[in-house]
Amino acid sequence: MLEALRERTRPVNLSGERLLPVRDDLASLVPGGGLRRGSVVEIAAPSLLFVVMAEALRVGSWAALVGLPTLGLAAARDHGITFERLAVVVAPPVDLAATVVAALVDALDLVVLGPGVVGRAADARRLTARARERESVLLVHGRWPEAVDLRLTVVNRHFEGVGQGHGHLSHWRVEVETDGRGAAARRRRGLITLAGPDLPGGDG
Amino acid sequence: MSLDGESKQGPVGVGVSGERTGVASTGAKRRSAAPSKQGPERTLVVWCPDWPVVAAIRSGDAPGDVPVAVFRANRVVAASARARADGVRRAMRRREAQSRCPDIEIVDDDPARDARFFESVAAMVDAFTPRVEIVRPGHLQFATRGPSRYFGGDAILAATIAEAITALDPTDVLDVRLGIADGPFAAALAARTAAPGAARVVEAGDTTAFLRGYPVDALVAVEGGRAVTRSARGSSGSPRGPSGGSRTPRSSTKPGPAKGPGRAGHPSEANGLALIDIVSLLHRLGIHTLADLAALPPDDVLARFGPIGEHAWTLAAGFDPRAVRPRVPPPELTVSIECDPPLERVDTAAFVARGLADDLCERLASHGVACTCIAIEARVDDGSPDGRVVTRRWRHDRAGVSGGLTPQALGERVRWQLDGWLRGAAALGLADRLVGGITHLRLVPEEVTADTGRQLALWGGASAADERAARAFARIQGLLGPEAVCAPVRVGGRRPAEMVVLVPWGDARDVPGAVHADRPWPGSLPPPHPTVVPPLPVPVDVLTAAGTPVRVSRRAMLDAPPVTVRLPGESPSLITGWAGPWPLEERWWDVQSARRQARLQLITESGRALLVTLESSTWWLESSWE
Repeated sequence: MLEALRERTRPVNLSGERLLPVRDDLASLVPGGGLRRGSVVEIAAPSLLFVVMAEALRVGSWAALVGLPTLGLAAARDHGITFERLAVVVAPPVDLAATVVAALVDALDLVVLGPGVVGRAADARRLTARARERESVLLVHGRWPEAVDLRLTVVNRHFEGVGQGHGHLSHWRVEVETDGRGAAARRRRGLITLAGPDLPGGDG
Repeated sequence: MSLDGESKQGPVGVGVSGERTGVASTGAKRRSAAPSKQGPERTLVVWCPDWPVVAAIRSGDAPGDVPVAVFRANRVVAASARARADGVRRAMRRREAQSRCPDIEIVDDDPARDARFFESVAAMVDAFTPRVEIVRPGHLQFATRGPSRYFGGDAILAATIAEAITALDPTDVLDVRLGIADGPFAAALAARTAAPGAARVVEAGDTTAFLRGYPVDALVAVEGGRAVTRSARGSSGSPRGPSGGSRTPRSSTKPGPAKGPGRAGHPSEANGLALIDIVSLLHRLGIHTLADLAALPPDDVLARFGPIGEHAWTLAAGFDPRAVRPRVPPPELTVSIECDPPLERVDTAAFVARGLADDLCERLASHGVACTCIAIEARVDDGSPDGRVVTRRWRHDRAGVSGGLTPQALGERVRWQLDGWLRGAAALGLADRLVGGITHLRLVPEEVTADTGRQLALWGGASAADERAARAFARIQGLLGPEAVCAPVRVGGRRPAEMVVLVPWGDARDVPGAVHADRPWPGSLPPPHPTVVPPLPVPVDVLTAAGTPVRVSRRAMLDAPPVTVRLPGESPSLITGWAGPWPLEERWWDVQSARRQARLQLITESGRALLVTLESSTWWLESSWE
């Protein structure tokens, strides 16, 4: 009981607000146990976007999804994401992309970019620098023209609940591999459960 | 607010330049300072009962020959006279209303529609006198000192205006009542007791005597407006004003709100009391009429009921404070914007309006004031070199209760007004409809009060991060248009693509259907929901072992198990697991929108989960888990 209270009342980030929190099972895979502010993270799978964002949104960060028209927002709820602090932005035209993303990077903790939103290497370099300066995290779904700090790829998916003509999909797991620069250079692998009944917030 | 001789000459009394307006209104204020000490300003109130119903009928959303009720969040906001005769009351649930009046026509509430159609009434009154203040759609007021002298007395003025407004409406759905008394509250009460199409004039000095006999519920009926209805907690009948229904004290029958009389006695809790709670409490304390309330010592009322109670006391005693308290704002608070290209569409106008309203609120906040009456001024391109300037004033209808206009309320009023100018007048085919677009827009805070401030919440509420985000979104909307930044809102639905809708950032998120989000939707698939939902379904091949497309019988049985699936542009992939088919039959009662589908979940060898749908003999990829 006391332990739980202490857990709830402790400052969200002990190491000087430098990390955005992530789910526990993901925390063991990423260096430092969270998303380092000012970093660029490349994420290959749409489901992992929700996994990465969920905890930060819950503790008060704002996020915007830019140019992701195919993302199934109904699934956000399976990850305990509420929509209070989430905005959906259309993919801006190429010549305005840098301006729009920069405005978001200035104001929000998490900016999620869809494939091809920022295609020019010069824009990507400027935005990487901007994110570092403003201490927000760029999550890129697709290819980022510049080097990234952390990359999450899905190497395997396991679906459970579906038989041969019976049952229904009840939960699924993905095997995630991380690599990147610096502390993230050492590859790690781990299993992450997506939206199952054993997940906190799955029904909330 | 008094009228000076010069501004009476034309409907557009406000000059184009900011300096002139500022000086003129300052002068008017000084002159009115002397009479305001003697008592409240003589006011004329034009009140159209059940305005949301009238607006719905005039807009064609409801037929005029059946009982009509306007609903918001499943509660009656307004009902037509015929529906009321059958027992439909405000705040009543939809089911109850339908059981009392089976042929009732149900219309969704739309404040923008109300405002749009009220513009014609406001324009008509504006032709008689400038400085018309719209309190809410269906309720406007102005000070009668100047116009009554011009027309030869209060009674003649009221009769002239009543006649002009009645003439506006050939179909006879519009019911208009006028009241003249000392102060807006007494005038509104007089209007509520007037006969349809007529005026009730309370002679100068008789107002206190006029108020005496009315029950304290009149405070809620007049002051509360619609807001009370929205917050009505489970009470089945909210007071309809002195003209409607029995006036027996309902304290004993009303389900007690959480704040009982014992706990509410604490001063800090009394501050949080709403007017409706205070009125209910007054009944329980044996104070039934306004005279009873006025007889209490004001200091004790303040101590017991807080500032809102004090406000109620001043109204009951006949000292309407509203003409006295506000200050004339410094002219630099005015905000304006040149619109190039001119605003012609309502959605672009709405976006401009919101930005301008935010700007104004920021300036007001930096001066520590809040706005209680706003003048919206637009220059319209009518072909002449300078254009035509139109002005409309909106007064905050709950100023005494909740301080000034919030940024949202301000933006809403500006949007309603622009909508009224751009669409409402045109829809009614009025002669003075706006020809061109709006080229210049100006917001003038006409009256401000000291901002008592709001306490930022310790947990939740607006924080610096929230404001930063709001600014960034507004900036992007300015670059790419209002639709470019959206807020996702959960609504009910059976397909993954239907479960979330996007509304432009800053708009109200209470879209229809949002209340159904947590209801059971038979036929929808249980979580986890798919993470990829293409905007349009993609045709796919789902094949049996024989290589023929899988078919589903009328009884929702597959003719053979699916073995391979081929997505467009990919090589066929083996199916390792499948579930279904689940039939989904929607809107079968409607030929146009009826849909009949069967759905399968497929797990492929390549490690993907797909949701495929059979509709009109074709399999479609509806969504996938990736």
